[in-house]
Amino acid sequence: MLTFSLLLACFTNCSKSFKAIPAGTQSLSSQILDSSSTSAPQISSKTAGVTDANCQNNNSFDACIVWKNPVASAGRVFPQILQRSTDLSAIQTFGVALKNRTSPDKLISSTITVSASAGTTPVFQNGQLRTTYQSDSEKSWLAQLMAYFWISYQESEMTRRTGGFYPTGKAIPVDAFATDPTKGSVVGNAYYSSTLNKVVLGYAVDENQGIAHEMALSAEVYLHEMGHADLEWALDGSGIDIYRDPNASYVVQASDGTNHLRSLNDIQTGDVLLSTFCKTVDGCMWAINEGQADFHYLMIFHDSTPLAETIVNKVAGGLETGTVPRDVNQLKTWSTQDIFTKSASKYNSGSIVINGEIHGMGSAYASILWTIYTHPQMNRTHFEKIFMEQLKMLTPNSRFQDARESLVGVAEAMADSNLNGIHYGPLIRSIFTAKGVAP
Amino acid sequence: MNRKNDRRKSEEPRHLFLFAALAVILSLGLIRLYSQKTPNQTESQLEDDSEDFTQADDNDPTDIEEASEEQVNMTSQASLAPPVSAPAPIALPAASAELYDFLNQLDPKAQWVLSKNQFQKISVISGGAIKLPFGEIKTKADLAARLAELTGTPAAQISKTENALPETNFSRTVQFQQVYEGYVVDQSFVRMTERKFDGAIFYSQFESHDLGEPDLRLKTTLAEAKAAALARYSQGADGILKTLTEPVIFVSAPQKSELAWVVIIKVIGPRYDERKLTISAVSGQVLQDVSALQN
Repeated sequence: MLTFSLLLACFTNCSKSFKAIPAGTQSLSSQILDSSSTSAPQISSKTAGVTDANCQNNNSFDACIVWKNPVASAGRVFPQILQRSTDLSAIQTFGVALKNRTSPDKLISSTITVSASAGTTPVFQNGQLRTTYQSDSEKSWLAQLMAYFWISYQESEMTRRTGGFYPTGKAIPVDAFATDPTKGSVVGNAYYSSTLNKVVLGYAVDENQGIAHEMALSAEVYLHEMGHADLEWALDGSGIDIYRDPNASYVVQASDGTNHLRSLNDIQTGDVLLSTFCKTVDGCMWAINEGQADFHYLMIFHDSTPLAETIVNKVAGGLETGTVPRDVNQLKTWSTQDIFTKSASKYNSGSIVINGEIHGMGSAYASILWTIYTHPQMNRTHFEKIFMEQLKMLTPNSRFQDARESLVGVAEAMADSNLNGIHYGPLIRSIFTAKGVAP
Repeated sequence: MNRKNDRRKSEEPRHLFLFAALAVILSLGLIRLYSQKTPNQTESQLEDDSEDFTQADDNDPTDIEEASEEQVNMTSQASLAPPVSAPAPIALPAASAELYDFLNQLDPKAQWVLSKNQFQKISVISGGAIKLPFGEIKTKADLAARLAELTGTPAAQISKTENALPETNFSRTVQFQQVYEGYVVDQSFVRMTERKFDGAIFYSQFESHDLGEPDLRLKTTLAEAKAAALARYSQGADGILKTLTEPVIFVSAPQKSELAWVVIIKVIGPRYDERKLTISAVSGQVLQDVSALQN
């Protein structure tokens, strides 16, 4: 009886003390932001298909596409930004299976329906489709094949690694090539519409602001957009709009042509929204949304972290916000304050300078997630599970410190049942601190 | 002296028993320690208890042993890193003693973490594991109402109707809407997430609002609100995408709220957009106008 009582006392006290001061976290300070600290990677997305120089003649594949995007695949830039009808035969060698189609002659699964409003419907033969980009200019079939393959791969990988993907079964239309504003095109951009539950991919622009090529040739772009869809469906039934963010402010062009900074409840008639900013270095939900969407593509292309290499025709990627590169590996040693300051935009001939553009601050959030994910003490699959769970806990009011608390809360709650008993809370908290997020 | 020795001898079996018992306790304590692993343990030391991701973990060669070798060489490159203090629990915001008392009754072993929103109102309670029923708190709706009250929202304003968010293998999340006089309060909720394996609620969120005295005069119709939304974008408005068919209570600031219509329109032109407009049901003025596109 005495033994039993002592045993109980020790269990209670021991567990509490170990929980309060987890071992292994005291020595993190010198390691946390080091860019060389990368734990072993997940399976490479290069194993999602088979690179075969004879792909077009190999009928064991459903289609021959490009891995990630043409510049990333080739490892070099084009003489000028990629133009439609360019010969990509040297890199269109990634042989893939098009899985989960509801019909062998369509790019439709229960999760996505891929088409191209500025292209034509692909014609399959025995469930397979061979097309070369050189002959593709009026059809945009490669763009559609790539969108279908990479989103389906993202869905299957997230389901396999984390147990689910919130948009599964949600029949999301994906317009792989939209050029007409009346059909939702946005020049040089892509988006997810929560109202229409739709992904729209525009086009990369050439130096004359004309159409260079389909944005759907860049897989990381729509894996990002599906990240927005994932968050939206994680909150399905909540009745809240994460984009109505009180911690953000908006730069608009007023009807007289001047630019103004507005708050959420202060947008005037005639205002045209130009850009969205986090009000403070604490971040905002818009930035968290952009950052988590980036992290969605990073979980798939973890061995190739830049964004939009082909769209900007740079091997190192691009789409800088202010002077903030959109590449988490380059940002690993940047503090959140650095990024807030450097993700600035100028308006009215430079008389207005606004810090904290949401894609720049999104990179700050993605960089925090990436630092946690690649930390030597983190099992990447474990963090993917934590990340996916945490999406349900984001709200329109979330700032970086709120995101931290929900990640910690989930990590601790999952530790014993799903994470092999490992308590990652202190590690997550330390990395947010190291990146300069307020307590 | 002898007597003392005799006494020692007579106590030896008891000492041995206590020593053995302590040894067992220490061993079990160590077992407990190892069951509470921390991230610096190698994966090879860990038994995979995940049912769902066996294949994923098999394919995940997270090599912590190799990584720990890298750690040795990392310190010199960390000069840009801000100093990191040992992880410490964040400071608890001032909260009512009643709330802490209640939470500590619900889970006496918890290390409660309370977070506040920009209005300094408690918005998150975590760090514990709440199991129901507990006394008069029978359901999650009861708990939502009680915690809402303790964090500053009248319990009567929290709906008893449970809205479920998507389930995962690990958790189940439900949400309760804030309502007033039968009207839904826009962008408001009490949300609770529980672990499926033991039903313990581990994360509670409070995005309920201080309404003050809401202006409930319904002086404009939904049709008028739609017309106002389209008129605002007279150059490019291309129709209504979605509306809420019932007005909601819109809170523009603490204690400042009124009835409003919510309309989403499509705007075309050089810059495609989808705008969500909140239009006062009292004055017909646009209270909020935000892009609903996520780039």
